[in-house]
Amino acid sequence: MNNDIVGMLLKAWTVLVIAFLFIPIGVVILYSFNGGRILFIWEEFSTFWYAAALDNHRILNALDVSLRSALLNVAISVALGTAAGIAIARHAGVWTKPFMFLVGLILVTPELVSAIGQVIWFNRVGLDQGIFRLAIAHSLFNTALVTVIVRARAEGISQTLEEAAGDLGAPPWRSFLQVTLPLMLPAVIAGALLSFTYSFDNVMISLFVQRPGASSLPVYILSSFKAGLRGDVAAVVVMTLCVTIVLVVLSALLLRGGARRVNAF
Amino acid sequence: MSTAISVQGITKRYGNFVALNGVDLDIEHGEFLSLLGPSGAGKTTILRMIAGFDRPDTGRISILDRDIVNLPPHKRPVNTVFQNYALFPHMSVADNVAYGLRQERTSADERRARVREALDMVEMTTMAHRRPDALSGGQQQRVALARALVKRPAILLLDEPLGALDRRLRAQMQIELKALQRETGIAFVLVTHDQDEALALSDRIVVMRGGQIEQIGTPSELYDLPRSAFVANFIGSQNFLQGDFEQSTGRFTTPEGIVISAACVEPGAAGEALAAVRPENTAITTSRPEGVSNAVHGRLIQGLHMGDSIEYVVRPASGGALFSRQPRKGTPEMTIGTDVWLSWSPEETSIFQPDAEIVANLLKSTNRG
Amino acid sequence: MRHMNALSRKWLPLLPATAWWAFFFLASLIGIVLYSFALKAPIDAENPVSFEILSLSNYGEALSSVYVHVFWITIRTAGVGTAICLLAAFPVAYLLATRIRPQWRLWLLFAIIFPYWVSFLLRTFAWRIILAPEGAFSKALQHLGILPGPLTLLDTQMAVQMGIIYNYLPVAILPIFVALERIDPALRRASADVGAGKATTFLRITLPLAMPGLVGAGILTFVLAAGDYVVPAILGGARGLMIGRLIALQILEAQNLPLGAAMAVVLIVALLAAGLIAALLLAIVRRVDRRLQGASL
Repeated sequence: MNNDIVGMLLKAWTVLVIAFLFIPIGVVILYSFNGGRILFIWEEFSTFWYAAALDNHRILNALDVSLRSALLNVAISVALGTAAGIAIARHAGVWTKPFMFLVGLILVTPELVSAIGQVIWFNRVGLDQGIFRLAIAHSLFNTALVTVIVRARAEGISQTLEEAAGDLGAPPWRSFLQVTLPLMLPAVIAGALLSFTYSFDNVMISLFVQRPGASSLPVYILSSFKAGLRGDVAAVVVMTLCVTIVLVVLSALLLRGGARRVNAF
Repeated sequence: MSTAISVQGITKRYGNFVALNGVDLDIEHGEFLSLLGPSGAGKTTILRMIAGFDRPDTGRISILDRDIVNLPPHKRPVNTVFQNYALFPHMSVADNVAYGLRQERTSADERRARVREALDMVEMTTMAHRRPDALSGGQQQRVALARALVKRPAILLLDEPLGALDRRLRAQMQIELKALQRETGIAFVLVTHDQDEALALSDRIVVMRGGQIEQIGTPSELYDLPRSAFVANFIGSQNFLQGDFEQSTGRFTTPEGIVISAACVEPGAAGEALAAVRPENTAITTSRPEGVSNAVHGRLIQGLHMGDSIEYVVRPASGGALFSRQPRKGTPEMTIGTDVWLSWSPEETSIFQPDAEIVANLLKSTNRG
Repeated sequence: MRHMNALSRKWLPLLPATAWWAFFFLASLIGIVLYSFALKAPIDAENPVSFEILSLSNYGEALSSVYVHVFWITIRTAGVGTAICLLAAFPVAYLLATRIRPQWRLWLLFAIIFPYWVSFLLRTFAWRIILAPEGAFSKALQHLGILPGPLTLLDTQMAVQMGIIYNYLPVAILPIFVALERIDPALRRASADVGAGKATTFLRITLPLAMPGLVGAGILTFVLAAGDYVVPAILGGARGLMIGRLIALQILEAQNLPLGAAMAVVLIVALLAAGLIAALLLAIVRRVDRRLQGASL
């Protein structure tokens, strides 16, 4: 009896928490279809602001900056993080602890602090192409993220598989290409997708390191809030949400389903 | 028969741990050889060195008089069946088996034919398009065998291949393994810690301990003529008595004054020694038997049913426990708690130099009794 | 020799990432510390930062009463937010870890993680719609007679507090869930088996074993909340202040990098100090707890 009441209370509370988490998201989605001039006063259902958003060259320009810097950031993070993640999982040494400490330090440093560091350092070394500044600043965190994801996967893949490939006559580079890499692929792709969403959604670091004329989409959205809430911004936010959801669900499936679904041949 | 692979003077250290200490071993063409020993004896290390995954600190490994120590694994004419099979999870059964042939750039036609042949051999043809994770443990085992055998290696290395299977499946796979070895004529080198498996399958067994070879021999040689107390104890079961051996007279006397005569004596045994007899070579009677030189008096404390036999546990006055195994049919049941005599002939008795581990165990059981 | 080469090559794949971080991350951290001792250069100078005089004057300013007040508000907002997040998160994590059918668990877990992957801006922005004085929610409350006039929460510290709790609640749930999930259910059964009541089992077995998860969740939430800029910027208006906003103001508007750097250093020190105090409090609680247990024996 007592048990039942506790269970009911727990369930009721959880339902409340989930509702609390989801209602605001639903509200934004709903209001992005508000045809009225003032966003938070509902008038009528309309996709007017979606059309307006896709017609706004400043939004499109910001989207372009976001996409380019996000992709460059993904390329850097995946290249550096995959190599590091496999190496750290395969060979222990005196370097393992300091390296993982560095990875941990990067992951726990408050964004605000690393953002300040980036803006100071970029200005100092004279790096002033907006897209590079964004991509490099985002890649620092994401390289650590990819390293951690790839390492976890590499540890899950038995090293005997590589030995087996060698035993069957494959030289090391071929066993890497034919066995290790295909098995690592889900983790690498998941790492790439997560790096992309991180960069695509990031506000704080982008805000600090951005250059005039090369604002990323989130920074543009943030600045447009100050000018008042507009429907086209809500529409953009909802559209980016769709992109994020697709990418995150994809990476979750890849990380869970793992090697079974990815065939190298 | 001629030598397929020769291992000479191999040593290997990992920090302070000596994994192998001067191992010499010749593996003959077409033989079934087992490396048997407790964990940490160095069995797997030898296997990994033959395969090329580890390098010895010193010594030679040669095929046809060519030293292969510096040859990487992919250039050696040996193949391995790994402990957990190590099947490639992202390839079908057929692709797993074909993998080694692809590395040799075998023509597509020949590859197909050989993969089919190998899968037929292990009766896995119907599963050719499945993924490894859709197979049972026994089926994965067969695929691993086919994948290695399809390469037609000079030697097949098997690292505890049956360890992950349940008992019934194990027994079945042992029969198949032996049949495969006969059929292919390839030398099999099996690492195992299971003495029954080694006895059942092998032409020769290498008993290892602490990085060294204790004895090499056929199963019956090891069983009947173990060269040391360790081998005697590790293969089959054994009753040990502690005592004093006088080399000149050949007399073994226990502290209680029981005199034991023995037909086999380990070279070098003198002074403190162990007398050994297998439980199945002893007789158990209620009165002292006539004309048998070796007999110990004690109380019958237990009778354990072993299926086709009964194992009696006898506690002598000096403490500890001695075992006697009797066939279930044809022996009258004994009453627990009665005084009995355990006796055996000198032909079944061996004298060994004392072995620290066995003596320690004897002392433990004596103190407990 | 060959062997040595093979050994020394094993760390080679770590080199590119390490070099990347060393040049862009570690160097930038050192940059923050160095800049915090420099001064903002006059407007017409070529370099906006002058290293001619190194001084502690930035720290003097960062620790002046105005900023200390904002630091205090930041720590308070983050602290209160963390406490409420932990309280709200624990029952959810507990349900998720112990009392849910496996087929439901994954969905619930997904439902909790999902909001965290939704753009931070969107989630914060949503509250401006919900809390808008002329919005539907405000009107509904007035209509029901709960509020005499329009909602006035927006652009206050209260709205910032709410935004913090809302945004970091998922972050708090996960570590607690992981810790609770690792507890072997047999321990709870064993405790019940030796006659402990449900409350005793919870207080003596479950809660202590979940403590590392609670501490982890607390630290994570606190650090993220204290360094936040977006929530106060969107929901705080002129009255909702957190240090993140002031630092951004110094760097982005006033172009005073040295002062911003000094404030960042103070923030890190304050976070470390808060962490240290939390660890100390926890140790004291544990010791007192052990004493009490000892006394009851």
